[in-house]
Amino acid sequence: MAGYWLLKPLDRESSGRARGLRGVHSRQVVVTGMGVLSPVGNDVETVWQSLVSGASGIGPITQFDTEGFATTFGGEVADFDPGAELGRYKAKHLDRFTQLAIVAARQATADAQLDIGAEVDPFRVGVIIGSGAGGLASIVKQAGVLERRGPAKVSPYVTTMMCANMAAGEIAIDTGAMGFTSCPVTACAASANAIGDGFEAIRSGRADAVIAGGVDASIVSLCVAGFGAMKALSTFDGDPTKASRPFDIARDGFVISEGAAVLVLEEAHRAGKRGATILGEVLGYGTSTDAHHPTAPHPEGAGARASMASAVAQAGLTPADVDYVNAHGTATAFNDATEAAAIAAVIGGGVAVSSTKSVTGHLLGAAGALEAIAALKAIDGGCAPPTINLDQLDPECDYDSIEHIANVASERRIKHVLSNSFGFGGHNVSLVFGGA
Amino acid sequence: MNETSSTIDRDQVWATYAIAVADVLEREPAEIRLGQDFRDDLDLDSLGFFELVLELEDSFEIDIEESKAESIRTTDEGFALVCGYLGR
Repeated sequence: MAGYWLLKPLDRESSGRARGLRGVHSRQVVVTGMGVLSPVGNDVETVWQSLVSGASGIGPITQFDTEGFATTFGGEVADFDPGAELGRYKAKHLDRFTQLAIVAARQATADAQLDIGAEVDPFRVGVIIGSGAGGLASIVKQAGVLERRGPAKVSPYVTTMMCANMAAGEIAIDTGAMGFTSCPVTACAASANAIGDGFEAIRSGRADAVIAGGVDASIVSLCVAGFGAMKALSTFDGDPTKASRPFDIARDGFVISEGAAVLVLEEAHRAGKRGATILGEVLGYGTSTDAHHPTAPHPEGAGARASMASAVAQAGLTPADVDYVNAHGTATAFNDATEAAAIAAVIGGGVAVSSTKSVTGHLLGAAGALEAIAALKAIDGGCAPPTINLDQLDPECDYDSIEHIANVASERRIKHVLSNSFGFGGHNVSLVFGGA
Repeated sequence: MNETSSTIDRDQVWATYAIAVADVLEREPAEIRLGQDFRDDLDLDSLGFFELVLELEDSFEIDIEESKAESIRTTDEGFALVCGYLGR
């Protein structure tokens, strides 16, 4: 109980919120480290500057021959040498998604200066890394070997390379974390689920720290062909940097990207005691499922409304306390219209809204975590990054009660951010973040 | 086949063998020498060993019986096994 009184002094500015009175055993969860590899930069500051300036990371796909593909562009991670980062022998036996995740996690733990073992019991440190497709490139490659040469020639490494949980497993090996580890596989909501699950693990007392985030390296022929076959991808004819157009009337689908984003979450008291730099706080984790269709959102946005409302409520906030919404905003016809309506209905009040996927493309399983980083930087920097390529707002996304931050970043006081991540399968996650 | 031809053949087999082993280990062929223990000297783990067998089969177009593969511990033993399959 003595530790309870050492928590940060209560912030009573928010209407009706008394953070210290959520329960005598309530543990607060802060962010002490961040790491990212993305099409717009391989460190947090570069990524943030790209988001604020609207510098798109979309370009021609180089990872496979796109001859015959309707979509030939995406957001690839550049300047990444896994052999140099991880050692050639190690890197050779890891799928790209695991390579990216390990390096992003190293950035985050270095940022947090968390010494697992010295400063925290390894069994109290978890790793939760979500992924939509795991080692898809390895699956595709070895499926080809199996077909052409038979089972005896399949790599003995394929099972460890393809499993989506291997990112979490390898990060645990790399960091020495021996606590709760898992891998949410909820498509585009995966890393948001990972952060939320890490938040809950700390709040419940299961862990004192969690390395939480997500990764996908799905710019793979089968994946691009598959999304193309269901007409989910943009087939924009022109400058690829203009292709990702959330909320715009000319939007025609999402732009596929790859990358990894990881946060270090810690129990607030412990983090303060060891002198960690607090980057922000996770306040609320709202979840729901649309239970409607594998890919199309609930037509009334019932799931999105529920996840946003519950996240805000868990944070002990009212909708008026949300200053900025980082939308899921994939630039598909269905998502953007439904989401805008849901944000207007649940949050409203002229809240600033933008989709950073306009700049980064859709990192699939890593999107939620990258957007969590954007949320925390928005609070810290007092700046809402823009939705670029928003030349003409779709009337179906236009509501008086929301303010689209179109094309140019908007400096403003931001105390709380709500970030949405909605995945195929109908998985909805909304996270609420606060400042340090 | 005279002795010189046989020596050249064994040298050629060794060169290909060293490249195959080096490729699996992500090392330079010059680092592979007779008398090395795969596990203790070259850090080859169990999965890597299976990969090595596949690589040797591909490099020499041979099929290595599992029972014979299991006995390989050193670069000498691997080389002798390959030479045996090649009749050298």
